[in-house]
Amino acid sequence: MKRLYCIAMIFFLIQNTYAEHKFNLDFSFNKYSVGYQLALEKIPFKSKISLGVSNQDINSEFDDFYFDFQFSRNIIEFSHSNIYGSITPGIYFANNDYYDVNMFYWGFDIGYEYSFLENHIVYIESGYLSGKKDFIQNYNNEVISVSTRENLILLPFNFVIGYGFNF
Amino acid sequence: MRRILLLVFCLMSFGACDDSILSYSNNDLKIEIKTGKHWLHEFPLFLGIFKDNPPQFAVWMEDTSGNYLSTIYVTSKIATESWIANKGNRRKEALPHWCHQRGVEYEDGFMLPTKENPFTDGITGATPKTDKNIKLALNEIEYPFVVKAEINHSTDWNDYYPKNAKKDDENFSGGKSGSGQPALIYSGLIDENNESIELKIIGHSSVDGSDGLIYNDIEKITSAKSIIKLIKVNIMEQE
Repeated sequence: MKRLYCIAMIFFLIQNTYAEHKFNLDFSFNKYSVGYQLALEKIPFKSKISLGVSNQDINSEFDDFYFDFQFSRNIIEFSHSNIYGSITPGIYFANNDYYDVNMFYWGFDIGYEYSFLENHIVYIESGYLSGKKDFIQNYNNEVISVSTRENLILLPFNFVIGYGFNF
Repeated sequence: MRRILLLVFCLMSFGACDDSILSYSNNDLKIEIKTGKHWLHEFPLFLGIFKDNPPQFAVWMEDTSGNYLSTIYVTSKIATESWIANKGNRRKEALPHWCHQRGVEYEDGFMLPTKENPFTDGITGATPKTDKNIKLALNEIEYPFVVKAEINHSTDWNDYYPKNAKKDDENFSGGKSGSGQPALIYSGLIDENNESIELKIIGHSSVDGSDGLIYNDIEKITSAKSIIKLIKVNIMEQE
């Protein structure tokens, strides 16, 4: 099923003719990512694909991965800057010694971006993020087998500082 | 636009399935932990801001001679040393009886797991905010055996275990970010002739975490007695 979603997403992106592309670096207190943004010609949205690392599972180390798509649209436009809104569905892959969980999440953000030196952009985004996965955690040894219901909840607050380069 | 909304809806439905129901077979054990009035406790963060914190706890098995057999569950902060802003404080007063019964000494001389060498011999997870059930199946062990639980809140002060107790005082519990009231220890003998066994308080742990003994003087402990409402072990029949 996951493959179908990925294929649908790729199909959706390549059937549009792009007008602009941008390379992005995002930094936050709990995640880092690199991204590639396309401004599509046929629709009034920008689409960004990001791949990053985060630390929101049980070991609190930056060894989890996430993959998301951001769809954003300018709300207010100035000469060198914009205020925009975005929605971001994505998939989070936890990585630790205790459980193997991946989960869907989504978020919405308000951002401000500022352009300088023709091709460079800095931006900040802040908003809400929702991601929760219930799962069964198991452990076995020679004495016992244990199972219990656990959950992984992503931090609902999102804050990102980013840099982009148009090419 | 419609295509985008459709795609987002599809992705959201991808995350909606729930495969997390515990099912029990004949002779499985169900450990029920029911939260009490003081399960959540105000923990000071900064600038007078508090966070409602659930307690740290461990559940484990011993034989009838008091020898440690296996940990069943331990909360993640103590299992992975993931305390918030502990500034190097190892918090040995958190669950000292479990630590000493388990008997694993780490490189710094403490009996607590470290970030570098976390506890991996069992299940760990974030402390639940509500009641919790644990399913247990026995492999190479026979009845009877003992199930113990140890539970503690940080900064759980009362009149006898105050924040300002001095280091050499008998009620010193680790300083200003210490335990306050010490960890409580619950125990129950699990016998196959009893279908349901409630664990009872048998004492408290070392106040400053310096040993793994059980102390019986629990009359000075107040709110900590109602962190847990009930811990019960049920021997299950087929559902």
